[in-house]
Amino acid sequence: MLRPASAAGLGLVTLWLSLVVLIPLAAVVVTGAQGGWTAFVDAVTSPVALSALTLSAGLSLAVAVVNGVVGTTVAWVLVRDPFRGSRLLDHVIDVPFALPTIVTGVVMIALYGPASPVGVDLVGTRVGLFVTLLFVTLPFTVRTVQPVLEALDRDAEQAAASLGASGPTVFRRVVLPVILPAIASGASLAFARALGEYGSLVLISSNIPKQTQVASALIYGKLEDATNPVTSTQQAASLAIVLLAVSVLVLVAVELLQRKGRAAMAEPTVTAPAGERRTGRRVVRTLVVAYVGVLVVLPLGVLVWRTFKPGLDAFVTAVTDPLAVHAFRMTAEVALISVALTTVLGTVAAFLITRSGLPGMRVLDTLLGLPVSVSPIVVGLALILVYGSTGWFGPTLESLGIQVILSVPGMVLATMFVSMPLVTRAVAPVLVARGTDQEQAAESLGASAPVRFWRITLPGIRTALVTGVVLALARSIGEYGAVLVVSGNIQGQTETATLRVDTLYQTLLQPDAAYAVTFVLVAVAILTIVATSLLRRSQGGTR
Amino acid sequence: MSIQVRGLTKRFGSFVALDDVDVTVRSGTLTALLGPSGGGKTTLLRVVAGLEQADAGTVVIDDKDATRVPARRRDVGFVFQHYAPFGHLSVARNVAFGLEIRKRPKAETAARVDELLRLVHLEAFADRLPSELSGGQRQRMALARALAVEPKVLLLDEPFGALDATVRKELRQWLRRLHDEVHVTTVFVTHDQAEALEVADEIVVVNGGRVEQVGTPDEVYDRPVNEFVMRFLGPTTSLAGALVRPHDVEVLAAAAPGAVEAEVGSLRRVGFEARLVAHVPGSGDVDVLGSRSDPALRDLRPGDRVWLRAVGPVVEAAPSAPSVDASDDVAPGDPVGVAASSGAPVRGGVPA
Ligand SMILES: Nc1ncnc2c1ncn2[C@@H]1O[C@H](COP(=O)(O)OP(=O)(O)OP(=O)(O)O)[C@@H](O)[C@H]1O
Ligand SMILES: [Mg+2]
Repeated sequence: MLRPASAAGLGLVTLWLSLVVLIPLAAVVVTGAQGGWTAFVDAVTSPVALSALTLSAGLSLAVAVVNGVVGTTVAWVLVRDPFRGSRLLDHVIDVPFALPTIVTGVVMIALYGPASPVGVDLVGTRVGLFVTLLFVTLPFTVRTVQPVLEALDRDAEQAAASLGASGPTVFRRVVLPVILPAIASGASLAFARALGEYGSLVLISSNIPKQTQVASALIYGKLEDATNPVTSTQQAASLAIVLLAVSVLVLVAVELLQRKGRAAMAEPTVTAPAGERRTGRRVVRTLVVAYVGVLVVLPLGVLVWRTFKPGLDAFVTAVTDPLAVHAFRMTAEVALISVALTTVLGTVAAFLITRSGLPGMRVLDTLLGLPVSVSPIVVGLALILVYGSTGWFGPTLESLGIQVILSVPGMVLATMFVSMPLVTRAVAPVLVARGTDQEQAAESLGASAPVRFWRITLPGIRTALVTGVVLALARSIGEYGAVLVVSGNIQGQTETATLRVDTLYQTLLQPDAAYAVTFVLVAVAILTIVATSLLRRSQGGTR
Repeated sequence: MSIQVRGLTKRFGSFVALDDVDVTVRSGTLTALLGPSGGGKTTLLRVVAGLEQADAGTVVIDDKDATRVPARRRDVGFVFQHYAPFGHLSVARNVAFGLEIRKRPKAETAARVDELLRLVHLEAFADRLPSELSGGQRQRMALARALAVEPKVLLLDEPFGALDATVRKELRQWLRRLHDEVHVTTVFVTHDQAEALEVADEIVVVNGGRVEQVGTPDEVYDRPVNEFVMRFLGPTTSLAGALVRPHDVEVLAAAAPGAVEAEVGSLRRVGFEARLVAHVPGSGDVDVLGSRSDPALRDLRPGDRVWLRAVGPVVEAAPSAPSVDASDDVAPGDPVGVAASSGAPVRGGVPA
């Protein structure tokens, strides 16, 4: 019935996906391959590159394994052992997602930096990198396992127990097989994220080649290298290809795992939580709370302390400094433009995927998820290769008077890239769950298509849409790596709030001011968590 | 406001959901679409409402060809199986929806909504959200919402399907009374024959994408055109190779023309009924249903010799062939004669 509308929507979404994601990523591949096979192999097997790649891969693997175990335990405690404060714990888990990466870097430095209040200085060590990556990836496994555990049919466990299986046996033979795909997909996502991580590591790593230099930092270094730009860009692209290939592999693995997981999932049954054997539970619960406390809450606490140590006046001066105010304004501008576009296009994409019945929608859905596991530095590189002054489209655009790189359009593109799936992924499940009955009822009552959309569909998806928008906004405000690359970080011009934190800390050596701006960004992140939590609750209420 | 459906065919891929269906619904009647699950009832209803496009055939509503008219211009009230309430709107706003779309004056809309809520006994619930209603209340809200725009015809898809047995019985009586008050041409889907027999003026029996028979409840019950309709509308037993209703089997103490000799197997009393199982040598058991006070049944003992004779509708059983074949060259409404193979008398239209 909506054929012309579907066609227009499909055209729009394809254009969006192509301009922001697909063409830039293609440019990376083409550029990396331009020097031929030997150049590619040389670029990725030079001692420095090999060391950076193996360091990133090794750290990511370790983080994924720890995350798989710890994340599953945290999810278990949240679902099966609710206690006073477990709701708070649930929200704290979201903090690493909501914090901008550079902010995480500063937060970690506050606790584990040279001025560490606990006397632990991890700067320039691999342990520092590992702890930071644990922080950044904490939510992944928790958030994939949690819903599966919630939906798990508790009758099956009770049946197994009645057949004589002990607690651990029930877990191993009844529960684990069902949640294993979710654990694996959470760990895979954590792996992908850790592999491409840049912003949160840049401060603590000190970027020592062959020791603490991670892959994305090496790529960034190649991009900044002005001595032989053509070769170094090509080498950067070669390294990016390796990271991209892993991202795609992970994406496919997660897609397959989730499909498998969905098939194994039963309808949820409402069973009262069993109250037996409290002592074992209490130990696990305490461990989980302690882990999350030390990993997430402690550094945040130290950050607050560190921010206000120089006094409130210093804080106010730092955040009202003209350059800081300009940076905040820049962040707002870029975030608002990109979120507006992402909201409209993401909603259209959600409708296409769930309602159009067109072929290839599953591929579209998967492609939309790609940006989540691409390194921000690779995103920046990809955009430069297309829109930069020597890129594919750059010269043409510049002759038309449009400057993309080193200016707002490029920053908007980078921000849209990293926040691409957030609106779609929030809206699509609600569209599926609602079905089309209400729209059909409205149609039979005489409502035209636009009226049906405004009066029936939109109110129905409003909460999900707002949730998606809030998430996209948080992501857009917080983007650092990709924006760093495309903006050139020109003080007073293209400098955003996250970039300002970097400048203050690394270039201007004003840690107090850096902490002040960081604090503002942390506050915004925590507001996001509160907002989405309230939204989720209100959605639960009207359903 | 009659509905005429001619030559309707609807395919889903290669699956034929409706196969050349003809149905006429007379103005002002309450018609039941009755049939087994997957028979095509919902599909037929949705095509009439314009929510589904047929591959072939025409739909005429109120003597105007509606085949190409979009759903929102058909003036058809549709009540969905799960009611499709607008979850974000109050009961009153749900009912007002169609009127608001038509931009009726506010006062008129409010008055009409009040009137309808009274009609469906929901006046006390006007400001609630649909999620705060019981299933039956939600059902009545959906009905009021569909009636608000004064549709030419009202279509209901299993209006009582999601309700428990007691509420179901109550509501179907209520639907009948409502129809007698409002007089709008109404078609409802059900797979419960008791429901169809109890409330409908006309029954359309649908099976496997085809119409098996159209008629009044008495006609389809007493003069089923084939074995499928016979079996679908009530219990049957087989007597001398023919299908007959258990309460249409006469028990005789002596041989008579057309009667078959049998031996009493068991006799049980259930409430006011007497249930006899008799064994016919060489053919099998026959169920007989009678009244407890029936002198012919009262004194029977297992092993006694009796003669059984069909006194109601009889349809030749086709044990191996599917029921659809039996009606292949019978069009709905055609007069048909059916005979039991034993030569038992064929008597139609005699309610026992
Ligand atoms: N959208 C669809 N796609 C494919 N097949 C469909 C679709 N809708 C219905 N069918 C098929 O068409 C046939 C008729 O379906 P319909 O819903 O009309 O049956 P019904 O008589 O209403 O059954 P029930 O009593 O179970 O509701 C079924 O076999 C069904 O599987
Ligand atoms: Mg149906």
